[in-house]
Amino acid sequence: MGDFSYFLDYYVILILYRLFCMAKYKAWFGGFMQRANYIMENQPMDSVNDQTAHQAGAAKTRSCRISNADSSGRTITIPCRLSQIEPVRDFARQFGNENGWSDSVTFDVTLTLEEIVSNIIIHGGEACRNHPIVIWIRLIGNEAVLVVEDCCNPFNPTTVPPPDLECPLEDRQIGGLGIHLVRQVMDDMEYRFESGKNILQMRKQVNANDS
Amino acid sequence: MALTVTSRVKSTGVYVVSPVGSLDTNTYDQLEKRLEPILQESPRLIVFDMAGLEYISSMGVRVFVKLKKQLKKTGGTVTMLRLQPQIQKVFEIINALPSVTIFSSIEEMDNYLDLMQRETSEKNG
Repeated sequence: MGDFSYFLDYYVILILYRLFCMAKYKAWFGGFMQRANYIMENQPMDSVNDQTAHQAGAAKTRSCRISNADSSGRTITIPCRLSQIEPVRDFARQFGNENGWSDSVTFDVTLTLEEIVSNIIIHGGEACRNHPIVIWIRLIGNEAVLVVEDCCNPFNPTTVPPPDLECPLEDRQIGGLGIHLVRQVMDDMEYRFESGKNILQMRKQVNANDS
Repeated sequence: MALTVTSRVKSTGVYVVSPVGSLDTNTYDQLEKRLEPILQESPRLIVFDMAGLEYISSMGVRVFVKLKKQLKKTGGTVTMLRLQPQIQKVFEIINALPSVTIFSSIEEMDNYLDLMQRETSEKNG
Protein backbone atom coordinates (compact mmCIF):
# COMPACT_ATOMS: atom_id res chain seq x y z
CA MET A 1 0.00 0.00 0.00
CA GLY A 2 3.04 2.22 0.53
CA ASP A 3 3.79 2.02 -3.19
CA PHE A 4 0.20 2.93 -4.04
CA SER A 5 0.33 6.07 -1.94
CA TYR A 6 3.49 7.11 -3.83
CA PHE A 7 1.62 6.67 -7.12
CA LEU A 8 -1.34 8.63 -5.80
CA ASP A 9 0.85 11.48 -4.57
CA TYR A 10 2.71 11.52 -7.87
CA TYR A 11 -0.41 11.75 -10.01
CA VAL A 12 -2.13 14.30 -7.77
CA ILE A 13 0.99 16.45 -7.98
CA LEU A 14 1.21 15.88 -11.75
CA ILE A 15 -2.39 16.99 -12.28
CA LEU A 16 -1.94 20.05 -10.06
CA TYR A 17 1.30 20.88 -11.87
CA ARG A 18 -0.36 20.73 -15.25
CA LEU A 19 -3.37 22.80 -14.10
CA PHE A 20 -1.17 25.53 -12.69
CA CYS A 21 1.65 25.42 -15.19
CA MET A 22 2.47 29.09 -15.32
CA ALA A 23 5.96 30.51 -15.06
CA LYS A 24 5.57 31.92 -11.58
CA TYR A 25 4.47 28.55 -10.18
CA LYS A 26 7.10 26.49 -11.96
CA ALA A 27 9.82 26.84 -9.33
CA TRP A 28 7.52 25.76 -6.52
CA PHE A 29 5.90 22.86 -8.38
CA GLY A 30 9.21 22.00 -9.98
CA GLY A 31 10.49 21.18 -6.50
CA PHE A 32 7.55 18.82 -5.93
CA MET A 33 8.07 17.24 -9.33
CA GLN A 34 11.77 16.72 -8.63
CA ARG A 35 11.00 14.97 -5.34
CA ALA A 36 8.14 12.98 -6.86
CA ASN A 37 10.38 11.85 -9.71
CA TYR A 38 13.10 10.90 -7.23
CA ILE A 39 10.62 8.82 -5.24
CA MET A 40 9.26 7.18 -8.41
CA GLU A 41 12.65 6.41 -9.79
CA ASN A 42 14.09 4.88 -6.69
CA GLN A 43 11.77 1.99 -7.30
CA PRO A 44 13.52 -0.88 -9.15
CA MET A 45 15.11 0.65 -12.23
CA ASP A 46 12.96 0.64 -15.33
CA SER A 47 14.29 0.87 -18.84
CA VAL A 48 14.81 4.41 -20.03
CA ASN A 49 13.73 5.44 -23.49
CA ASP A 50 13.17 9.08 -22.63
CA GLN A 51 15.95 11.17 -24.03
CA THR A 52 14.41 14.56 -23.23
CA ALA A 53 15.91 16.79 -20.58
CA HIS A 54 14.02 17.11 -17.32
CA GLN A 55 11.83 20.22 -17.39
CA ALA A 56 11.90 20.96 -13.68
CA GLY A 57 12.38 24.66 -14.15
CA ALA A 58 14.14 26.16 -11.20
CA ALA A 59 14.38 22.92 -9.17
CA LYS A 60 17.54 22.78 -7.12
CA THR A 61 19.96 20.09 -8.22
CA ARG A 62 21.85 17.99 -5.70
CA SER A 63 25.53 18.72 -5.85
CA CYS A 64 27.61 15.76 -6.92
CA ARG A 65 31.16 16.12 -5.78
CA ILE A 66 33.99 13.68 -5.52
CA SER A 67 34.59 12.88 -1.88
CA ASN A 68 38.27 12.12 -1.93
CA ALA A 69 39.64 14.18 -4.78
CA ASP A 70 43.02 15.60 -4.04
CA SER A 71 45.45 17.58 -6.10
CA SER A 72 46.97 14.48 -7.74
CA GLY A 73 45.61 13.63 -11.15
CA ARG A 74 42.92 15.42 -13.07
CA THR A 75 39.16 15.63 -12.95
CA ILE A 76 36.57 16.48 -15.55
CA THR A 77 32.94 17.23 -14.81
CA ILE A 78 30.42 16.83 -17.60
CA PRO A 79 26.68 17.29 -17.95
CA CYS A 80 24.71 14.10 -18.44
CA ARG A 81 24.57 14.38 -22.24
CA LEU A 82 25.85 12.11 -25.03
CA SER A 83 27.54 15.07 -26.69
CA GLN A 84 29.83 15.27 -23.64
CA ILE A 85 31.51 11.92 -24.24
CA GLU A 86 33.87 13.56 -26.76
CA PRO A 87 35.46 15.81 -24.09
CA VAL A 88 35.93 12.75 -21.90
CA ARG A 89 37.81 10.95 -24.69
CA ASP A 90 39.97 14.04 -25.19
CA PHE A 91 40.57 14.25 -21.44
CA ALA A 92 41.76 10.65 -21.27
CA ARG A 93 44.02 10.98 -24.31
CA GLN A 94 45.55 14.17 -22.99
CA PHE A 95 46.27 12.56 -19.62
CA GLY A 96 47.82 9.55 -21.36
CA ASN A 97 50.01 11.69 -23.58
CA GLU A 98 51.17 13.84 -20.66
CA ASN A 99 52.15 10.76 -18.68
CA GLY A 100 53.91 8.90 -21.48
CA TRP A 101 51.43 6.05 -21.74
CA SER A 102 51.63 3.74 -24.72
CA ASP A 103 48.94 4.13 -27.39
CA SER A 104 47.50 0.82 -26.26
CA VAL A 105 47.08 1.90 -22.65
CA THR A 106 45.67 5.28 -23.64
CA PHE A 107 43.19 3.49 -25.90
CA ASP A 108 42.14 1.14 -23.07
CA VAL A 109 41.55 3.99 -20.63
CA THR A 110 39.72 6.10 -23.21
CA LEU A 111 37.51 3.18 -24.18
CA THR A 112 36.79 2.35 -20.53
CA LEU A 113 35.66 5.87 -19.73
CA GLU A 114 33.53 6.04 -22.87
CA GLU A 115 31.78 2.76 -22.06
CA ILE A 116 31.10 3.64 -18.42
CA VAL A 117 30.01 7.21 -19.10
CA SER A 118 27.78 6.35 -22.06
CA ASN A 119 26.05 3.67 -19.98
CA ILE A 120 25.33 6.26 -17.29
CA ILE A 121 23.95 8.76 -19.77
CA ILE A 122 21.86 6.25 -21.73
CA HIS A 123 20.56 4.16 -18.80
CA GLY A 124 20.87 6.47 -15.82
CA GLY A 125 17.24 7.53 -15.74
CA GLU A 126 15.40 10.82 -15.62
CA ALA A 127 16.52 11.57 -12.07
CA CYS A 128 20.10 12.27 -13.06
CA ARG A 129 19.64 14.27 -16.26
CA ASN A 130 20.36 17.49 -14.41
CA HIS A 131 23.26 16.14 -12.41
CA PRO A 132 26.86 16.11 -13.59
CA ILE A 133 29.11 13.11 -14.02
CA VAL A 134 32.55 13.45 -12.50
CA ILE A 135 35.60 11.57 -13.78
CA TRP A 136 38.89 11.53 -11.92
CA ILE A 137 42.13 9.98 -13.14
CA ARG A 138 45.22 9.79 -10.98
CA LEU A 139 48.41 7.80 -10.90
CA ILE A 140 49.54 5.84 -7.87
CA GLY A 141 52.99 4.60 -8.77
CA ASN A 142 52.56 2.57 -11.94
CA GLU A 143 48.83 2.24 -11.55
CA ALA A 144 46.21 4.46 -13.13
CA VAL A 145 43.15 4.82 -10.91
CA LEU A 146 39.94 5.94 -12.60
CA VAL A 147 36.92 7.03 -10.60
CA VAL A 148 33.53 7.81 -12.13
CA GLU A 149 30.79 9.30 -9.95
CA ASP A 150 27.20 9.96 -10.90
CA CYS A 151 23.93 10.80 -9.16
CA CYS A 152 21.76 8.37 -11.13
CA ASN A 153 19.70 5.45 -9.88
CA PRO A 154 21.82 2.95 -7.97
CA PHE A 155 23.44 0.70 -10.56
CA ASN A 156 26.31 -1.70 -10.05
CA PRO A 157 28.05 -2.48 -13.34
CA THR A 158 30.14 -5.24 -11.74
CA THR A 159 26.99 -7.35 -11.51
CA VAL A 160 26.19 -7.15 -15.24
CA PRO A 161 26.49 -10.70 -16.61
CA PRO A 162 28.99 -11.23 -19.41
CA PRO A 163 27.57 -11.57 -22.90
CA ASP A 164 27.47 -15.04 -24.42
CA LEU A 165 30.63 -14.98 -26.46
CA GLU A 166 30.31 -18.54 -27.71
CA CYS A 167 27.29 -17.66 -29.84
CA PRO A 168 28.23 -16.63 -33.37
CA LEU A 169 28.24 -12.87 -33.75
CA GLU A 170 25.09 -12.77 -35.82
CA ASP A 171 23.04 -14.82 -33.35
CA ARG A 172 24.11 -12.96 -30.29
CA GLN A 173 22.06 -10.55 -28.25
CA ILE A 174 23.40 -7.04 -28.54
CA GLY A 175 24.03 -6.07 -24.92
CA GLY A 176 26.56 -6.11 -22.13
CA LEU A 177 29.43 -5.57 -24.54
CA GLY A 178 30.61 -2.30 -23.01
CA ILE A 179 31.04 -3.61 -19.46
CA HIS A 180 32.66 -6.76 -20.84
CA LEU A 181 35.26 -4.65 -22.66
CA VAL A 182 35.96 -2.67 -19.49
CA ARG A 183 36.44 -5.87 -17.48
CA GLN A 184 38.96 -7.12 -20.01
CA VAL A 185 41.07 -3.99 -20.35
CA MET A 186 41.04 -2.88 -16.72
CA ASP A 187 42.79 -4.86 -13.98
CA ASP A 188 40.19 -4.18 -11.35
CA MET A 189 36.67 -2.74 -10.99
CA GLU A 190 35.01 -1.82 -7.69
CA TYR A 191 31.63 -0.30 -7.05
CA ARG A 192 29.96 1.32 -4.12
CA PHE A 193 26.88 3.45 -3.58
CA GLU A 194 27.55 6.21 -1.07
CA SER A 195 25.85 9.49 -0.17
CA GLY A 196 23.39 9.08 -3.01
CA LYS A 197 26.13 8.56 -5.62
CA ASN A 198 27.25 5.64 -7.74
CA ILE A 199 31.03 5.47 -7.37
CA LEU A 200 32.94 3.20 -9.73
CA GLN A 201 36.68 2.79 -9.37
CA MET A 202 38.86 1.01 -11.91
CA ARG A 203 42.58 0.38 -11.87
CA LYS A 204 45.14 -0.51 -14.50
CA GLN A 205 48.86 -1.03 -14.45
CA VAL A 206 50.47 1.48 -16.74
CA ASN A 207 54.17 1.69 -17.40
CA ALA A 208 55.68 4.49 -19.40
CA ASN A 209 56.98 1.92 -21.85
CA ASP A 210 54.04 -0.47 -21.62
CA SER A 211 53.15 -2.08 -24.92
CA MET B 1 37.72 12.48 -33.62
CA ALA B 2 35.13 12.44 -36.35
CA LEU B 3 34.08 9.62 -38.67
CA THR B 4 34.09 9.69 -42.45
CA VAL B 5 32.84 6.76 -44.48
CA THR B 6 33.52 6.10 -48.14
CA SER B 7 32.17 3.20 -50.12
CA ARG B 8 32.51 1.79 -53.60
CA VAL B 9 31.25 -1.12 -55.62
CA LYS B 10 34.04 -3.62 -56.13
CA SER B 11 32.10 -5.97 -58.37
CA THR B 12 28.52 -7.16 -58.69
CA GLY B 13 27.09 -7.47 -55.20
CA VAL B 14 30.44 -6.71 -53.56
CA TYR B 15 30.99 -3.43 -51.75
CA VAL B 16 34.07 -2.02 -50.06
CA VAL B 17 33.32 0.33 -47.18
CA SER B 18 36.09 2.36 -45.51
CA PRO B 19 35.33 3.95 -42.15
CA VAL B 20 38.00 6.47 -41.19
CA GLY B 21 38.53 8.01 -37.76
CA SER B 22 36.46 7.08 -34.73
CA LEU B 23 33.46 4.74 -34.58
CA ASP B 24 31.99 5.55 -31.18
CA THR B 25 28.81 6.41 -29.28
CA ASN B 26 28.52 9.68 -31.17
CA THR B 27 29.43 8.56 -34.69
CA TYR B 28 28.15 4.98 -35.07
CA ASP B 29 24.86 6.13 -36.61
CA GLN B 30 26.74 7.73 -39.48
CA LEU B 31 28.06 4.32 -40.50
CA GLU B 32 24.59 2.79 -40.13
CA LYS B 33 23.11 5.45 -42.41
CA ARG B 34 25.86 4.87 -44.95
CA LEU B 35 25.10 1.16 -45.00
CA GLU B 36 21.34 1.55 -45.53
CA PRO B 37 21.38 2.09 -49.31
CA ILE B 38 23.93 -0.72 -49.69
CA LEU B 39 21.70 -3.11 -47.73
CA GLN B 40 18.80 -2.28 -49.99
CA GLU B 41 20.81 -3.83 -52.83
CA SER B 42 21.01 -7.16 -50.93
CA PRO B 43 24.78 -7.37 -51.29
CA ARG B 44 26.58 -10.70 -51.34
CA LEU B 45 29.58 -9.28 -49.56
CA ILE B 46 30.53 -6.11 -47.74
CA VAL B 47 34.26 -5.72 -47.17
CA PHE B 48 35.28 -3.24 -44.52
CA ASP B 49 38.68 -1.71 -45.16
CA MET B 50 39.60 -0.73 -41.60
CA ALA B 51 43.01 0.76 -42.35
CA GLY B 52 41.86 4.25 -41.34
CA LEU B 53 39.84 3.30 -38.26
CA GLU B 54 41.68 4.48 -35.14
CA TYR B 55 39.10 3.92 -32.43
CA ILE B 56 36.04 1.78 -31.83
CA SER B 57 33.69 1.44 -28.87
CA SER B 58 30.95 -1.11 -28.18
CA MET B 59 28.41 1.03 -30.05
CA GLY B 60 30.65 0.75 -33.10
CA VAL B 61 30.97 -3.02 -32.74
CA ARG B 62 27.18 -3.25 -32.52
CA VAL B 63 26.89 -1.81 -36.01
CA PHE B 64 28.81 -4.82 -37.34
CA VAL B 65 26.81 -7.25 -35.23
CA LYS B 66 23.54 -5.79 -36.52
CA LEU B 67 24.84 -5.76 -40.05
CA LYS B 68 25.86 -9.40 -39.96
CA LYS B 69 22.38 -10.33 -38.67
CA GLN B 70 20.70 -8.34 -41.43
CA LEU B 71 22.92 -9.75 -44.16
CA LYS B 72 22.38 -13.30 -42.98
CA LYS B 73 18.69 -12.95 -43.89
CA THR B 74 19.57 -12.27 -47.52
CA GLY B 75 22.52 -14.66 -47.71
CA GLY B 76 25.17 -11.97 -47.59
CA THR B 77 28.24 -11.71 -45.41
CA VAL B 78 30.85 -9.34 -44.00
CA THR B 79 34.63 -9.45 -44.11
CA MET B 80 37.28 -7.08 -42.85
CA LEU B 81 40.60 -5.89 -44.04
CA ARG B 82 43.66 -4.25 -42.44
CA LEU B 83 42.51 -3.83 -38.83
CA GLN B 84 44.76 -1.71 -36.65
CA PRO B 85 45.99 -3.67 -33.59
CA GLN B 86 43.83 -1.84 -31.04
CA ILE B 87 40.73 -2.40 -33.20
CA GLN B 88 41.60 -6.06 -33.69
CA LYS B 89 41.94 -6.37 -29.93
CA VAL B 90 38.40 -5.06 -29.36
CA PHE B 91 36.95 -7.54 -31.86
CA GLU B 92 38.95 -10.35 -30.24
CA ILE B 93 37.68 -9.47 -26.76
CA ILE B 94 34.13 -9.59 -28.06
CA ASN B 95 35.00 -12.76 -29.96
CA ALA B 96 33.64 -11.35 -33.17
CA LEU B 97 36.44 -12.73 -35.32
CA PRO B 98 35.60 -16.44 -35.73
CA SER B 99 32.51 -15.62 -37.76
CA VAL B 100 34.09 -12.81 -39.75
CA THR B 101 36.86 -13.39 -42.29
CA ILE B 102 39.76 -11.02 -41.86
CA PHE B 103 42.08 -10.33 -44.75
CA SER B 104 45.52 -9.01 -44.02
CA SER B 105 45.98 -7.35 -47.38
CA ILE B 106 44.13 -6.16 -50.43
CA GLU B 107 45.85 -8.84 -52.49
CA GLU B 108 44.50 -11.55 -50.25
CA MET B 109 41.02 -10.10 -50.57
CA ASP B 110 41.30 -9.85 -54.34
CA ASN B 111 42.41 -13.48 -54.57
CA TYR B 112 39.44 -14.50 -52.44
CA LEU B 113 37.05 -12.47 -54.57
CA ASP B 114 38.47 -13.92 -57.78
CA LEU B 115 37.96 -17.38 -56.35
CA MET B 116 34.37 -16.54 -55.38
CA GLN B 117 33.78 -15.16 -58.86
CA ARG B 118 35.15 -18.33 -60.53
CA GLU B 119 33.00 -20.54 -58.30
CA THR B 120 29.92 -18.51 -59.16
CA SER B 121 30.69 -18.73 -62.90
CA GLU B 122 31.24 -22.49 -62.68
CA LYS B 123 27.92 -22.90 -60.90
CA ASN B 124 26.10 -20.82 -63.48
CA GLY B 125 28.10 -22.03 -66.51
